[in-house]
Amino acid sequence: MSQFSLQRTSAALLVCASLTFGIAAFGQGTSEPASQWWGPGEEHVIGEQLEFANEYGRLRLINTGDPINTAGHPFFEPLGENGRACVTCHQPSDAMSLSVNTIRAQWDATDGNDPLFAAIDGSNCPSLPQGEEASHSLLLEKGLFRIPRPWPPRAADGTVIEPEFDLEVISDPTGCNLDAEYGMFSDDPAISVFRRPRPVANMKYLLTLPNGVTPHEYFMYNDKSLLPTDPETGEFVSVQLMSDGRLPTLRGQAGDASSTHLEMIADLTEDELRQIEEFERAIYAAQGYSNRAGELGGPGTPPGLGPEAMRDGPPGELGNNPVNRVFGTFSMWLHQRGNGEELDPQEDFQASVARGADVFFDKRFFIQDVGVYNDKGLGNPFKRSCASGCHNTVLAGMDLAPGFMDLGLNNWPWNKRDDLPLFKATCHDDAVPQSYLGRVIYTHDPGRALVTGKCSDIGASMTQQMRGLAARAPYFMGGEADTLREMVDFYDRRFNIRYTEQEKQDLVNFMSVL
Amino acid sequence: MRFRTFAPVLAFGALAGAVPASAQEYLNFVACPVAQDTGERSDVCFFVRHEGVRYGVSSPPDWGNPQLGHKLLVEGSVSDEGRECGGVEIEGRASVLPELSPECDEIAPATPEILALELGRRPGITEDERAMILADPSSSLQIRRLRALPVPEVALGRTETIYFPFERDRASGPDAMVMLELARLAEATPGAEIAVRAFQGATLLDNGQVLAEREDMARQRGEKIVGILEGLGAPEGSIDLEVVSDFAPPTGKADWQGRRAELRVSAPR
Repeated sequence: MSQFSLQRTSAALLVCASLTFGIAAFGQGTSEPASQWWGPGEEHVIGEQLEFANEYGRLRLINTGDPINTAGHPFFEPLGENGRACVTCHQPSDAMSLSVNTIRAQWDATDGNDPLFAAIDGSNCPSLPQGEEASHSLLLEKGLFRIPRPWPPRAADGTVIEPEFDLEVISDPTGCNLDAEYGMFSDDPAISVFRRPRPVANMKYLLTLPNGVTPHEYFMYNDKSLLPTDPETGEFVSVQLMSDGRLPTLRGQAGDASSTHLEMIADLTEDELRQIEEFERAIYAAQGYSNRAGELGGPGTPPGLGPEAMRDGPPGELGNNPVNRVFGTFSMWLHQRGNGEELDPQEDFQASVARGADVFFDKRFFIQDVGVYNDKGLGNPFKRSCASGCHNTVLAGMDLAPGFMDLGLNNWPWNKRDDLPLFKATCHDDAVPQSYLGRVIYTHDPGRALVTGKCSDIGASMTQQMRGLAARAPYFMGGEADTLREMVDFYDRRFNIRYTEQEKQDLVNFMSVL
Repeated sequence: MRFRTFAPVLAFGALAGAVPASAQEYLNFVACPVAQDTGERSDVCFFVRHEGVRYGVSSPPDWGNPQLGHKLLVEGSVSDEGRECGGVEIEGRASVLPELSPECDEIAPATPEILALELGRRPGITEDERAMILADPSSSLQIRRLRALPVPEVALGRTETIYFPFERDRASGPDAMVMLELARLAEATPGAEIAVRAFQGATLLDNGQVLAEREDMARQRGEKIVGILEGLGAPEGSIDLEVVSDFAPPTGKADWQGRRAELRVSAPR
């Protein structure tokens, strides 16, 4: 992270002292980077628009609500026992997620004493010596928080779900799954898995039920069971919000996070819940400026770029046809000069982005052995591109169909990690087996199966939105890819796509401007 | 998904000498599916080889396409009309068997003969659409939805039947829409009664073996349907579930119809 800047587009925008200092000190190209960290309880004002530097350019946040003074706002105040606020793990500079660079910088700045590193989930296990860096290695190296899930799984009302499989801890590098106090044999048995925080922005795309794909505004795609309902309204809701879909509403997620991540003893009040939800629904984030492509959004640029496109775009729409492609056209960047004319560096990069968009949309490959995906009626294999396969939601880029999938990131053989716990799941004889791994599965994170208890769900998780990628490495639920290039390489390896070196670079450049 | 072609029938090397079953003849067998690559810009289709004959596999929409890694139960009669995935078409059902069969791993490359059939093509962008986007790039983000599935007509006192793949309780999209409409009908009918009869089945294979579903499939199907109807708004206590665990002896003729659920909404008596 090199620079900090804030754009003020509203005359009514109030700027607090610390941000004013930020502009003055670092907005003029000075070499010393400013911290972009927003600590709990700090006062900032979020007007219509904010920008934050990252290695690819600048992320832009748009607030469609009233200006917000973070002082006293429940998203930004340390409401719990450990001093954290929601903003601790959902930093504006990091597309409302949290990059490992930010985590590392915060460790260095506070010598590991920031509430971010709270023992409960900011360390590999609360029982480890908290002053040691090694006890926080998964957070510091991969941006992973510990997520303890009850074992056996429990439904929302607390009733036990009889799992279709037995779990055995094969390796436990964090020590937490066999820990006497926190492990699966403790008085409060839990499975500890380690996951990245998802961005809290562009929420309408995650919360809107899919349009135009009846009956999937009522049914999950994969097994044609019903979607969950909002416990407060009784209305069907999407399951895009969390990686395992365990809490489908913003209020539910906020309530859960306040007691788990913030260690809040009391419940959030109705007013606090309302403020948090209003804020989360008002924020849109996307890369707003590219160091190499220039301004993202506005006349002459691809219409799907920038947070303004997210704000104005239609949520819950399928973009896997050749006309309304997921992120819209990039054709204006493809051929900016006549034959033989040399492109300037900016045009050359823009052309690469446009080629990457074409690869993303057009290059088909065999999608094979993806659990809870190929088996939901599509066939194994089926042949699609990134966009027409799993990343088909207009402007947001996650899978519109309500459903989960095991891409291979959580289960062997596609991903083997030494830093994560490894479980052996043995499915019962009367269970439907996982479609491509059978009845004995080695997994680093059983994913959705820790919610449903189903063998067929082992390792499955929800696709993520693709906006603001430049600001929030590493990628995937378990932080497998440290860089955009590693993400491309994973897919290339997983599906034997055989991208050329040029295609890989074009894809990286394309994703860097989203 | 169904890939039909009306292109001329082509002979397929090693299979050319085999004689397909005659039209209308019932076939019931288990085989590895083969995924047929149909070219760089088109979808795959699936076929099976059985007694030296290539049969194309098709099923109703969203029923469940074949899967490598799993054997396929094929139940149907030979069509005397169409061709499917470069093979003889079978009218009926194909079910992915749940257990793993790693030996089923063949992807057939797209040969010139296959490419000539132009299988699995989807419409591309037209020149008019391209010009429209060029003139107004924002039109590339306009909403374009798939053609909606037809809303099924349901009626009081009429029985609707849902058929299932072997040992599955997953209904297809069109079947899910039937449940949606039935729940709406029940909700709109004061005192409505819903009868759900859930069955499991068995299939007589051509080799004389009987392939029977596991014992609790009828219950599993029935309870899932009841949960769905209730979740869609069917009045509480209005559903009567009958689980039919016994199955009629399979005959080898459309045995897939035994794997079903019957749903009926009635006005109060």
